[in-house]
Amino acid sequence: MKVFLNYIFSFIIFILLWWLVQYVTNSPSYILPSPYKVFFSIRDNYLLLLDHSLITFFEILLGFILGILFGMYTGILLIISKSMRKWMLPFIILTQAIPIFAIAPILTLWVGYGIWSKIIMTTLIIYFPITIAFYDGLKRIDPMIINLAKMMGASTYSMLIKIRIPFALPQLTSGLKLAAAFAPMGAVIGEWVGASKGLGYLMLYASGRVQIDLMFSSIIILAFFTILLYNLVSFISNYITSWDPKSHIK
Amino acid sequence: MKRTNLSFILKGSLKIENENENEILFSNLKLNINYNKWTSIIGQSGSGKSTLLKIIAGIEIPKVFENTITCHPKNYSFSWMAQNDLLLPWASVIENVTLGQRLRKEKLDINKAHNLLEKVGLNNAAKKLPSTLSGGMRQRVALARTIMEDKDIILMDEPFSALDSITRSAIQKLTWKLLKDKTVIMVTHDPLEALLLSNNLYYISREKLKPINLPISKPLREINDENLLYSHKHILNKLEKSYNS
Repeated sequence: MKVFLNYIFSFIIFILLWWLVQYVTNSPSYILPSPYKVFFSIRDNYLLLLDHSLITFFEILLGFILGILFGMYTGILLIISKSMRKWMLPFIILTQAIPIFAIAPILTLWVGYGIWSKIIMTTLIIYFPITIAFYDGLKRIDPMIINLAKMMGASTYSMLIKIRIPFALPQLTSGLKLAAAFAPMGAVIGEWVGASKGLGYLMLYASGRVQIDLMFSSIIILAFFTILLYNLVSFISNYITSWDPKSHIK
Repeated sequence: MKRTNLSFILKGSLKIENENENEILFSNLKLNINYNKWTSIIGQSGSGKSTLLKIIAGIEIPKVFENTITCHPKNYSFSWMAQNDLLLPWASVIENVTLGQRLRKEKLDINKAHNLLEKVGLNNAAKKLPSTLSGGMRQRVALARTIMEDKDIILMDEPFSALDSITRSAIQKLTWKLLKDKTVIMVTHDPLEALLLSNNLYYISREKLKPINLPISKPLREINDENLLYSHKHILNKLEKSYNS
């Protein structure tokens, strides 16, 4: 409840600042529409916004889940295999040197204009933070705990499931929170490059027709998605790491 | 448990690499371990006590060996109790005590675990998380976990050094009471602790393990035992000489 009230308070401050800037600069509505104009735009176009939002939300969610699965799988491979660490880690870091904007058109070319190119973009954008956070967590375990488990006769599998992964959860949840903030960006970049549906597409559509209020409506809904996803991830993270209060954001 | 005494022999030298040159940590070691007795090893910080314990357990095989260990007690199983309790923070006390069985996917012997917790005075804390316990309580959970494993040899790496003096004394007595009939190898930097609890005592000096005569009384010795105090003084002198040389 307290978190919800904090968000309401922040939202009110944001709206007031927005209003103030618009009032002081006296910007025309095709440059910076006032909050109430955007509010009316959301009310008038809610069916259109809902239609596009559902597509984007689905892309974000599926991309997010796939990113988590691939990222965790890679983290495990890196920790259990020395050769994987040697060859794969530099490759993973190298892929991050390629701007995500450069990959988007190629993905559209390869996978098409459908939702999959956007899902892959979302997956790609969160893959790195998840992988590195999880790998870091798996690595940080006290070696004496590993030795203790070995002396107890733990197999590689039970060591991973019962010792390494639980120890890595606080680190993983940091990566998940970061990923929750980045995931919507991946979907929208994908939609900007080539799409006929989604909030990214709607932003471009509205921009081309100087419907700046509709563009702002899309941005606000996207921000709402990001906040929703972040809080959902934070809630789940706090639950699975309830034994480690240090990893919780107050 | 094989009812025989055993010897741990390390032929050759174990070197550690430091900033300036390779320093020999110890060479040609022989450690006689008596069945169902406490053997303690003392030495100053950095003398290689913990490393030696890890080598005995087979969990650390140093890379820089001139020769190899020729007589490793391979057929023995070990359990480990360290300065750090090594409890899993997400697991309850009872889950920590039964950790070995859970890792080996064996049937859990919950009754035995509860009995052990009762012996260490923590039966009421079975469902608590380690973070809610004091340092002394956590070390008692580690003790219960160690006994639960029921291995041939119990290796203890300065198990009481992180505790305050009152708690330390209580846990030393409890540990000795519960492990007096077990084969224990303990390393410690505290000669008094070693004198109180050991049947055999060695100290690491100039790359060698040297035996130290213990007072005639049996462990758990009284702290005001005159012989013990004399031995304590004697060991401190030896350690001081070793340190100065």
